Amino acid sequence: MKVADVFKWKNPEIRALHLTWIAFYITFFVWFGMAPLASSMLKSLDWLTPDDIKLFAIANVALTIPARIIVGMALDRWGPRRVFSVLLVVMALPALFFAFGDSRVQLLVSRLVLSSIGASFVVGIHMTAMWFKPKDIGFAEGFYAGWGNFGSAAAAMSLPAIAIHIFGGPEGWRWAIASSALIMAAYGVYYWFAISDGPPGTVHHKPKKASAMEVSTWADMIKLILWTIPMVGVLGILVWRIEDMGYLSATGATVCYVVIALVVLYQIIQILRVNVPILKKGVPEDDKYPFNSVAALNSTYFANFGAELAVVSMLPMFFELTWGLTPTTAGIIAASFAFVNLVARPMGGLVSDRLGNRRFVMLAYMFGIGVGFLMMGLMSEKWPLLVAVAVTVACSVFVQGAEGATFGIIPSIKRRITGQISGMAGAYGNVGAVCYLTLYTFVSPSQFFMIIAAGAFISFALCFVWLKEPEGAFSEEYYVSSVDRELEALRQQEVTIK
Amino acid sequence: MRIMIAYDNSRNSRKALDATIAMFKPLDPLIMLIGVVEGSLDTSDASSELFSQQRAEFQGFLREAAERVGQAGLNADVILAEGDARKMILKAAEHKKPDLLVIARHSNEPDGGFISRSLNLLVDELDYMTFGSVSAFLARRAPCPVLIQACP
Repeated sequence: MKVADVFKWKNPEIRALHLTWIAFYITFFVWFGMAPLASSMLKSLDWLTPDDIKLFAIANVALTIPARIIVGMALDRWGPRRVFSVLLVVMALPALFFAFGDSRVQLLVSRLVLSSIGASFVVGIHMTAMWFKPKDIGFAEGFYAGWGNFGSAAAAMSLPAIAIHIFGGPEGWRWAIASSALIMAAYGVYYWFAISDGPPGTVHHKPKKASAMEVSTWADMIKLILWTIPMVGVLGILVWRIEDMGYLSATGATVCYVVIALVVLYQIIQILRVNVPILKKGVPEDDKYPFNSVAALNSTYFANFGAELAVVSMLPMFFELTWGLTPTTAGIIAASFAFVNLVARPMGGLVSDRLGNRRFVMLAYMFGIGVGFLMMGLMSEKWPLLVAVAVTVACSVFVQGAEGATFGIIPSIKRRITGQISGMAGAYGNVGAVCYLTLYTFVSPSQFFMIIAAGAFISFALCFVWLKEPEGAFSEEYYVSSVDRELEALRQQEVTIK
Repeated sequence: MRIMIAYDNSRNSRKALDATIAMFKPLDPLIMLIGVVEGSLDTSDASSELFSQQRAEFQGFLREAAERVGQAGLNADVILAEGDARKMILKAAEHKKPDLLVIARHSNEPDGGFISRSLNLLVDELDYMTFGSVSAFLARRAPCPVLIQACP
């Protein structure tokens, strides 16, 4: 597949790719519509504080993880077309609810529900996989992810302008969010009729779904359990913050903790149910895979996609307050972080494919993220704005390239469970966002960037120790002598004569 | 005489196979066909059967190629690998120690209009400048002499 192929609109698979990335792009647009409007909201609502905004930002990435699990099940039952359409239409409701919310609790709850929209990534990846040939899938999925993630940049660039110049007034931000929600719902309806699940004649047969990831050794099972706990357990941090800020009574918080604990316990039981029989029987040597590689990739996605989600949620306000810009200008400048997604994420996948050493590419990218955020941590109002933007863009090239590189390694760990590995890594992106944004409520932006840099260096170290270069394998070999061929041909002739 | 040929059923690799057979037939070499199925980069489990389909198709191509070698009266050894084409061919060459490794120069039949053609050319050029092609990679690293077949 060539780069220029994406302009061949007439090809059904290219059309499907465009329809799908646009759907994903719209979800990202709505998902990150709050950050660029945060200062307008603070101005127009006297009962809202900056701390509330920080809390909404955490809520905005919280429920994505459970939503991913539910969406994964729905995908197997109904296929990506229906799931995507329903998701687009249903998620317009909390977005509208947020647009016209007039109390802190209403805003918080609608943001929490809206965070489920992040699960759209998985749906589109599935849709893309159904349309493309295996050798083109890598490019198509990278393209889809990069151009879809760009939606957050588009929101940062356009929403303040829409709120201030098109609608205007103190209620402008409400109408800006509401209009994006309505467009999303309309596109959801259109998507239902515009696309099919794979080329005509595709039989969607359900994959054998295990309820938990298979592992190869007892030690790996312990590691899997340890790495599974934070996936839902991280929500405990959010509950603690919400209670701390007085949104939730102590009883309510306890109920939430118990629910989270039960879900984690259920996941652990599933892991045991799937793996204990397998491990008792013993896994053949050639079927083993190292769970350490999965853990390393969880950490990289935590440190790159988690950082991206967190930074996109705070950057517009940071620029506005540090350099005293208008919301519109700050939005456009902050968008420079997510803007390079169009090129950087597909490029990360490409570099990983072509360089021939995926481990090295991953390590280099993680190191680059660390350095990039160290630089961002040193930024202050004394810096010329242009230099600050350049540093932001350079840092983001590494962040998004690393996302592409992470998803470049995932398919080569263990083919049979690729879907589960990518689901786990993807969830860790959200775990990262929740952790980083929670820390953000306690520290200054500069310290926040330093924390992200530290996270990237830690992930670099984990990769250095745990990540193994994926190896190919010789799957079969046979010998054909020309004498065999002649005998075979003679036999064939005899058969035809008879 | 053992000759290893990297074969992927592209137009150029078919030509390279024919040219090699024509060139070396008097030496009665053993022709080792190495084919590499590039691992799918799919990160979902939506189309695993598509991959096995592709793999089966590829096996068919290799079998046809082996038949062609047989029709020319030579013995063939067929190796199928999965993974990165460059690395797996290199590994096979190191492991099997052929006397000669034959690779076809990469082939991309240009198509599309002027704009998409020039865009592809530009991207390809950058690609080969920065990372090199399969043949360039192997020419630098292979443990045996390498013959790069030009396929007009």
